[in-house]
Amino acid sequence: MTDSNADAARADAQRFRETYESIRAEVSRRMVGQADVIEGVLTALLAGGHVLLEGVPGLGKTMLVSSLGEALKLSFSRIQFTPDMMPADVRGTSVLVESEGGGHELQFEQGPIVANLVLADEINRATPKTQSALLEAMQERQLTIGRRTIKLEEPFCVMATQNPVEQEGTYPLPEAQLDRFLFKLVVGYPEEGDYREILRRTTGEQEVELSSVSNAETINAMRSTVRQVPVPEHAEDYAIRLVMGTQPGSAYAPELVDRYVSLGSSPRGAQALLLGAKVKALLAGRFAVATEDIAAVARPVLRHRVLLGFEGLSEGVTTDQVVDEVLAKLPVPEEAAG
Amino acid sequence: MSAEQNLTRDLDQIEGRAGTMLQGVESRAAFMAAGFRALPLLAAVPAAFVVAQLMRWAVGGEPALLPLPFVLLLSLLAPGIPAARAAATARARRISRSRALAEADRQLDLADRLVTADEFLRHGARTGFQQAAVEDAARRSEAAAGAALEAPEAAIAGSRRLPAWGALSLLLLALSAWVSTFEPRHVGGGGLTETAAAEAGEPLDEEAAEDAVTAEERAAPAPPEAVPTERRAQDPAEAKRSESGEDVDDSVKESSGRTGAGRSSGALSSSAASESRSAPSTQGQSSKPAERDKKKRESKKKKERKTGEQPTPERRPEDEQSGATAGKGSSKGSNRNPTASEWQSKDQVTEVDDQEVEDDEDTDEDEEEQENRGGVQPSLRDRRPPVSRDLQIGFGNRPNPDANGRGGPSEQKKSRGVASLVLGVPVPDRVKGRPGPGPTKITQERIEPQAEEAGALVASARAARSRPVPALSSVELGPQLRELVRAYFLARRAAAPPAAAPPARKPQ
Repeated sequence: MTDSNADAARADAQRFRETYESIRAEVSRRMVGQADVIEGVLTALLAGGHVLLEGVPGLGKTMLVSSLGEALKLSFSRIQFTPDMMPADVRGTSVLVESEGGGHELQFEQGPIVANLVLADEINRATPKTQSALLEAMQERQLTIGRRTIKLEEPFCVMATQNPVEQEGTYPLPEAQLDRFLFKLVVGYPEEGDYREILRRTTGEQEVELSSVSNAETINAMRSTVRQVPVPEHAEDYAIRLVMGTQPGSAYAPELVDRYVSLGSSPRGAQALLLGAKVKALLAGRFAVATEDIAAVARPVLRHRVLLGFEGLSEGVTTDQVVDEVLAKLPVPEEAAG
Repeated sequence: MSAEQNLTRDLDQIEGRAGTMLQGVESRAAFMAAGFRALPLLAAVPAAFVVAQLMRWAVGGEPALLPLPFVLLLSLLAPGIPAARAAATARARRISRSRALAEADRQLDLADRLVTADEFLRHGARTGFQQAAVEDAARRSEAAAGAALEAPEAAIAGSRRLPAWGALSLLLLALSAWVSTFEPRHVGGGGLTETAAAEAGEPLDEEAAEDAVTAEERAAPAPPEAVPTERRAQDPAEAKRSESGEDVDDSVKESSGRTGAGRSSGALSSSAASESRSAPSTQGQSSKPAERDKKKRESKKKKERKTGEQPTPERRPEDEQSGATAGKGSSKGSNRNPTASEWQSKDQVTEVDDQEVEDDEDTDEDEEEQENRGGVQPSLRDRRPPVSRDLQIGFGNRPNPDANGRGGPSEQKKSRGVASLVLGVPVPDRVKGRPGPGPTKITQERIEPQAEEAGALVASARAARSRPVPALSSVELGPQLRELVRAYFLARRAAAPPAAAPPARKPQ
């Protein structure tokens, strides 16, 4: 291996950090506070995943995603999910249109999901039938309607929001749907110091106009850089054991998991851990994944992949507690190997 | 020397230092863990020592076996030996290279750079990022090789038990010291009870003998030669014992056995109260056959043989002597079989009921039979009719004589209460209102049909079509089928009565 390759890798990593920082700074011009959420959304976008944002109304979830669309100069569409929405409203359908010669013909009208950034607002208000319309698009990056298959343009990222409070009239996302989100980010209330800035920006005369600091091509290049980051064996072992630690009955599961968890993470969770950790490693100025990168993304990656049992729900155990317990009890592979 | 060679050298050096440090940590942790696991030994040694002291003292030896500091040293060594062994095993275990480097990474805050570089160095062909990672680690390895590594603290479970076990050990050592102060016990042929009896037995025997004599003289006139005979029979035995140097306990026991068989059961007993209780039996029971006593004696001997208790050579003649006097004793009123057993003597002085004495004999025989059968059978001594648990009042008008209404062995119930279930909710005798009409009511009425005027629609011309008529889907009938359908409807029209107006509904 020549030094030129190493130099190229260093240059890619440097470019990655700079672009990332510029996007973050631009989004932060409109979005006050919520640094962790912004970082999580950007990490998921650059890792090639989708994000589920959970928070009570009024915290700026929708604004964050729309700001990201503006800053990245990507095609952006917003779908407001409602109980009477049909899958065709998401994916698109064939409509009868009059042809030039006076006749009629079926013409496919693509749905709002065909975009780079898709904001699925209040996704849990739609029926599971409509929610599942996103499954193929999120995993395969394509749509199949009838005999027509549409390849979705990269970067494609679904950012869904849901409100954890108003559960009446909602349909919790099925496990298959949840598993397709790389991160689940919990949007909390802003800090006390952020309130003044929020009020100043949102109640004044001037609106904050965002400029596009990146584009689809740059995002795709950054995604490619992320994929090149190597993962050493001990980090792979750590990610595997971390995922296995969420599965009740496994050798790495702590007592809390055995008792309260009914379903652990799938291998897709390990993939998400490594992809998120690669972005973290690049942002930390390293060229390989470390165990601390994996631990840093463990919560957003695993919290929606762990299904609590009845006893856990009745005891008030949260999935974040489960992930923290697994992290605390799981030995680093080198220490375990002794 | 290239950067990679420098990195390899630094990694080797770091591995050596971190490995040695981790070996020491593991050895200490193993020592402490094994030591805490073996904490019970800290108390087990003094406990065993105290038990040994007590056993030695019980057999009459000197309780101070070993000096106390020596026991303390043994107590400390007991958990120390397994701990030292575990530490040596841990020290001999090799620390893997990746673990040593990972520890250095952790302590120097290098975020796995050393471990990762070590792994990538083993790869033949490296990607750009892998090479960059190796070079990144090489820049930091020199500083890492010179940095000091601290031994991490190992959390060891069980350290909280140390004070408890230590306190228990000290307590046992104190107990051991106290036991060491015990005077050596003078042990003869008998047990503790006999020794105590020997200490207080001699004066009591004489007093009791005198009291017994007076009581017998009061209760029933005994042959005047009986007491001297007894004394004469007793005196040589005592003289013999004193000559042979036997313990006093045996003499008491022997005298008891003899008195139990003799004419005055309480004559030589140590309790005045029991003596007074034994007096009525003298009056109430005239005599018992000597064969019975003999049989009982034989059964006792059998039991002794079975339990492995070999009678001492001193006892056997006394038993025989007691048996010889059994006949005399029975004539005086006590039908007890004189034995040398301490428990039998106790029975003799505390129980006076002759029926129970017979029961005792029966029980002994029963027990022997039961043992022969291979198990202890339930005692059927107190055969009584079973308690009636009949709760019924009686059959019809006849009362049930066996029922006491309690369902158990108790007295007749005084009050039977109300023999039926009484509602706690007052129910009115009369319910106001009237029966409901039921859920549905069907009324049929005959109504004459009334004609209604149907509003005629005004026909109007339809507007011209704006578009061509699309192809309508209709069933195309063949000529024959069309004719058949027409004929069918004509036949129905001809057969039908003239159309009447539909019956109108009566307004409700």
